[in-house]
Amino acid sequence: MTGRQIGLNLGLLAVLMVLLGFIYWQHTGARAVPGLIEALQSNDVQAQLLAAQGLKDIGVQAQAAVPLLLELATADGRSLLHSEAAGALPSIDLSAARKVMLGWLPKLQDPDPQVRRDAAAVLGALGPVAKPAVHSLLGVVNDPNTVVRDRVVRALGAIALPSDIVMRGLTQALRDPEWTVRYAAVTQFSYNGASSPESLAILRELTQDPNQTVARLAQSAVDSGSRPISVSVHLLTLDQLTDHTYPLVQLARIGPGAVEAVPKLSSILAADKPLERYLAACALETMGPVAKDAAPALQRSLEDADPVVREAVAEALEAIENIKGRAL
Amino acid sequence: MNGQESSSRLTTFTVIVYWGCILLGLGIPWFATIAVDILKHDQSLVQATHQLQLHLFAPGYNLFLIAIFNAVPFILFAVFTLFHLGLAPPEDRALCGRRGAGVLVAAIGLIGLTAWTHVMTLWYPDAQGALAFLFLPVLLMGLMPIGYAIGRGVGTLIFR
Repeated sequence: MTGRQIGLNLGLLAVLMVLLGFIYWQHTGARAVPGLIEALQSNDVQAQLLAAQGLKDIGVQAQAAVPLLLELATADGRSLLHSEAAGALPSIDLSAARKVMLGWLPKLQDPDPQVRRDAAAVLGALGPVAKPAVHSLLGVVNDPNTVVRDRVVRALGAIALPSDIVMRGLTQALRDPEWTVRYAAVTQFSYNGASSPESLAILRELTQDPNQTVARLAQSAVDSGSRPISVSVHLLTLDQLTDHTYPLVQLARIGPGAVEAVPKLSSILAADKPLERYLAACALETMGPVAKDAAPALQRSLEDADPVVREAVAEALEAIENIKGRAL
Repeated sequence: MNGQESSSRLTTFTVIVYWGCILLGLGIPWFATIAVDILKHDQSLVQATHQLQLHLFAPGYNLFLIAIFNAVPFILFAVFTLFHLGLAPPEDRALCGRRGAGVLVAAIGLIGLTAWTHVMTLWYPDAQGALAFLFLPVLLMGLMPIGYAIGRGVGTLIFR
């Protein structure tokens, strides 16, 4: 081959690589939003589900999709898309996620068990942003319908905050007569590691559960409960992962014991993603007075652009100051 | 066969291996996805292609990125082939034959292992299955010189 022929083939390879890079660039980040919105509007449920997941990944830059996601998440009737569309919203727009929560909360009392089940699933999909829904979910933790109870338990696990109240509901579900519900409850302890002395005692009993699946998982939950993940590991995860949601929720669940995380959480109050700012404020709230060093950062965050973050910041300041007052 | 014809055949062979490796490196993950959808999940070709299109950039699937990642060792091998065969003296038929055999066996090894890994990973899905897509390119880089050495050895026996 001549040098020219070799050069031509290498040049064409370079063109191909540039083209592939351009295609990838076109389909990621904010540039992908119009295409994903189009997919959300299609009649292909699978395309809609994947589009919602894609928009969730893009986050704040997918603002243009919020009205459509809101519409899909709150649409009447049965839809596979309710939970997926709702699940996409917290990373894009916290206020829209709260609107979905408010839309579904009354449906927890619906006479139709399918509607109650869907309501619990949607609230769970919203994650920690649906914190104000926890009390309503606790009200249906003894629902006569097994599937509804199962969804309620999973929703409580997904919302996770406030951890003491969620823990109460999950501990109650560990005694459920139906093994699927007990399994769902044990799962929350097994994979998240956090447990109270009371729940740990019940989990130990459940290691003798007549259902082997529950018994095995309970053993795993007891093991992880006796070896909780340390705060430093969560801090390390915060530094290494791009998605900070999980470690922030875990720190919020630990409460005052996570005091060494206060400086990091204070810095996250200025993060770009509203969900991270919200979770940082929630974590500081659960810590109470030991998080007093975060007060200046929280004061600054009272002017946060997002009303849900502002609300969480105010609650955090209140938790720090109230308990501080009591201690004095 | 005169020298010019021999040179032209070598050039054609080089270009075919070069572009074949690049395109198969990119395409095998997608072909495997389509094949498994058709054979295992009883989908039509149109449905399987639509599935592929939906999952190209979908979070958790990223079939586009998997293809790019998979293509890396193939591209490196293709560039090696372009220089190794492209700069071989066409008048030395024995040398060209030995080099050709080495490249061909290495290419078949790369393609075969990639196709088998992708089909098996999709056919028997597993939570850790995606790790195969990460390790495969590294494995292929190691396999490349071995395949070439075997082919070159065979070529030495054939082209004396």
